[in-house]
Amino acid sequence: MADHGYLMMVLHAHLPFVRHPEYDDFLEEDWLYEAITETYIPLIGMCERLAEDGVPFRLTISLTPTLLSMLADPLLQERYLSHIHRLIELAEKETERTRWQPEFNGTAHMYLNRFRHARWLFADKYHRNLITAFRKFQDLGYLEIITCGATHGYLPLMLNRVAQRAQIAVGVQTHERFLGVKPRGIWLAECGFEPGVDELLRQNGIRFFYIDSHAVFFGSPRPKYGIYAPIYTRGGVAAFGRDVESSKQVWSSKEGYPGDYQYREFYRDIGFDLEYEYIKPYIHGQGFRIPTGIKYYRITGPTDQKEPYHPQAARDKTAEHAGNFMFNRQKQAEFLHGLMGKKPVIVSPYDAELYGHWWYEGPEFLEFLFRKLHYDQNDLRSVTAPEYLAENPTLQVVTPTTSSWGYKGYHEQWLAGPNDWVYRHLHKAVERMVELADSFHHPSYLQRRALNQAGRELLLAQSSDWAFIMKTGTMVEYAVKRTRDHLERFNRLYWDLKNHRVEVDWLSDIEYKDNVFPDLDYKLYAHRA
Amino acid sequence: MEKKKPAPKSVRKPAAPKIAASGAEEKSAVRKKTVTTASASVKKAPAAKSVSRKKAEDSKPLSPVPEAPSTPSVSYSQPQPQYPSPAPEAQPSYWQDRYGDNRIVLMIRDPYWCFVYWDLSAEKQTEAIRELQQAGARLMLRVYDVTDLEFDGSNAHRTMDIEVTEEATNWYINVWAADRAYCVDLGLLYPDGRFVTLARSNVVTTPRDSVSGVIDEEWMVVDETFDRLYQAAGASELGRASEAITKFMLKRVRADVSSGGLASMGSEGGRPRQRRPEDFWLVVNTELIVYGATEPDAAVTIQGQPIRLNPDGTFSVRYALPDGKQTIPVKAVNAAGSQERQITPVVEKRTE
Repeated sequence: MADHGYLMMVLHAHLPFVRHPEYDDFLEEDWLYEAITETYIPLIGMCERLAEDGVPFRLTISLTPTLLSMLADPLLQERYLSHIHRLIELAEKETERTRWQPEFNGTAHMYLNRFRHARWLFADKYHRNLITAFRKFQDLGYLEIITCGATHGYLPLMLNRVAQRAQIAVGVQTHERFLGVKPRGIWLAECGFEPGVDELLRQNGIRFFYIDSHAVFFGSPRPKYGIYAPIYTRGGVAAFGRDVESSKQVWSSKEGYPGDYQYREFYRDIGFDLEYEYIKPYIHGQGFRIPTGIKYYRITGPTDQKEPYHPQAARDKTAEHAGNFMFNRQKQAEFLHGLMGKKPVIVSPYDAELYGHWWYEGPEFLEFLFRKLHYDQNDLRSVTAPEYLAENPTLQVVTPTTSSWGYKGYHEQWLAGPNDWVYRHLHKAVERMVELADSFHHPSYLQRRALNQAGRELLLAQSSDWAFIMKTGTMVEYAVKRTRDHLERFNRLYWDLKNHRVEVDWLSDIEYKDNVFPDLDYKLYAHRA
Repeated sequence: MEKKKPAPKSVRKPAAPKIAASGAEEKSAVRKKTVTTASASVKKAPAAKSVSRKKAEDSKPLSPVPEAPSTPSVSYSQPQPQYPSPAPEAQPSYWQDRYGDNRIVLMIRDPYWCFVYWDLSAEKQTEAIRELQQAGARLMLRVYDVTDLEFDGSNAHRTMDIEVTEEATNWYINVWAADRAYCVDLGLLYPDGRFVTLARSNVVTTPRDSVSGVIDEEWMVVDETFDRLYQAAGASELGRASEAITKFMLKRVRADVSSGGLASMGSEGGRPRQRRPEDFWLVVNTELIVYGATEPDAAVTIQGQPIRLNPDGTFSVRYALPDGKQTIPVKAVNAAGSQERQITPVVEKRTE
């Protein structure tokens, strides 16, 4: 056994800002509640256990500014609490209802335990603010928490350095406000990179970021170590390239681990399966069926005849897959080490919500992986980017190519028939925002509020999520509405400011609804050298 | 409190006119052709969608200051029925379909395709319509390859013209090659060959789609090592250097390893997979409700399990009922513990 390389596990945790105080029950807010129960809390639970057992794991996680803002929002915290209470009530009923069905009863008890644990961890242990938990493991050195553009804006399609800079600067500012330290690294939304962005990162104190493998391979000059060593961009920021092989093992819907027949089937949810009057209090307030999170079947195979889920069998499989993943990385590192004459770094980034929400057993997989890395081998060491860079300060200088990690590797996911109409309006809004910032040097109190809110509305309209949803074709209306709402609010602020007639009641209303980034300063958008 | 309605089946279109995206299927075919012939083919905009909108409405620059706001435009009200706004905030509409700027903006989609949108000022619009109708001019996009140039309008490496319809406001352009700089004019082409520019775009550079030929002096890469590194990245079938690597990488980025992104969060993703209409199906399950009443302060068990009473002493428990025989003793003990009653329903379920 020898020291052959580094493994960098990276999770990108992101949700767009969805918060609708004007409605009692808002479907899209469930994205947050589901992610808290199924992904964020299980990940925190994993950190707790590993830390208690003294496993020196290293995990890089991006907590996007919009996600941080939602996790810290009292209204959403309150709503999550009632959400988890409802789930606990349903799970209690389920443990009774399935009493004569031993094949489901154990799983019903599993849900009840997990939901109760989630409630305890959320409400009692961390007093409703999960950021406290992430921050704790950051301070203990286990988590390297990185930031993202303010609203996950897709930088390459902004065509404007001021707009890109504002996304990055507000991201950094928000990160520091919630996590107490400036972020050292950033996850560029969708790995969307174009040369020049690195300069903006450097100006904002960012030391490293991530790009997809072809961004490195097609970089110029030719990168000596491919994706197995980071590079420095001209802007002097380190870029880590995504490893193809480890990505495929987890991501691929065909070959990936999450498709194993023992794992929980995502699509069979009691929200759709059970008798209507019984399930009605736990589905959408308007009475239409939605998933509840309680699912009793395993993937089983390419069939509609699904077999019952067995948590223990799934857990065994998770351990096996973690062992397989580690074994493959060991072999990969050993081979690369010989080839390169230096230790490779294998960078494995994933959407955090894949773990737990999609792949229910994902958080357990990660926990097994970190335990095995610690106890079972010496070839690989899990590492964060700052640790790697401290040990390997000299890197080749390469300009990566414009790229993303999305469909086909460039911009097509965000620039296609269903969503290309947004850019005309987004670009215009940026132009108007810059105009406002350049023309209001000494705004009144009210004008300043309007100017800052205009910045918020612009940022919210720029979320790459809206264009992404329009392209994927589900929930399209919501994405269209959000884009238009924020742009309309922005435009009204623009005209009201130009005409010196900002209406305080209306402004207060949208400040209350779109209450993200309270410390945003509109002067970010001013032209300057 | 108003609540959101379930999303209807038909997806409403955003107000802005849409030009057809080139579908992925068609595109790769077109791409192959253009890469080898170095001529660019153009994805035709579907006139239908654009034309269906009234032209006047499209091109009329909105009054820059909506002093006396008119009734909300059709386009504004579109998303409303699904998400009725509880506040009157949304009246009037501050949405503008067009801004009346004289502008054309060029964007990159990938190494081979660009997207361009434009907006003409009222003045230019009038001029264009007049010239189109009276002087036999045609509305054109002129694409310039301006790689490494200080472009002055006439020194491009190459140009190509794409005729666009009067109603179009955007277009996808299949450009010559990756890693080249492009600029596009919207203009009028006269029968005598004159081209008059109405608006000129920004310059963009398409991304690289292959391994760079540039090898840094200081960081000389030994070719063999380089190739094997790429193989290590998963390209086992690689025989030759950068060409094969490029091919492999391009295949890889198009494969199913991209981010699931938000799609993985969509609650609607939780719906069972769609069945084909010919797959007729039926599911039958049974449940049993055991309910009753006793003194509100009594203790009740069913099959030995304590259950919770409603404040009025009633109770109701529901069980999924599988095939077989269930003996269900229901026992109540009064608060003092001095009296008890037991009733035992027996239920047998069979599926035939």
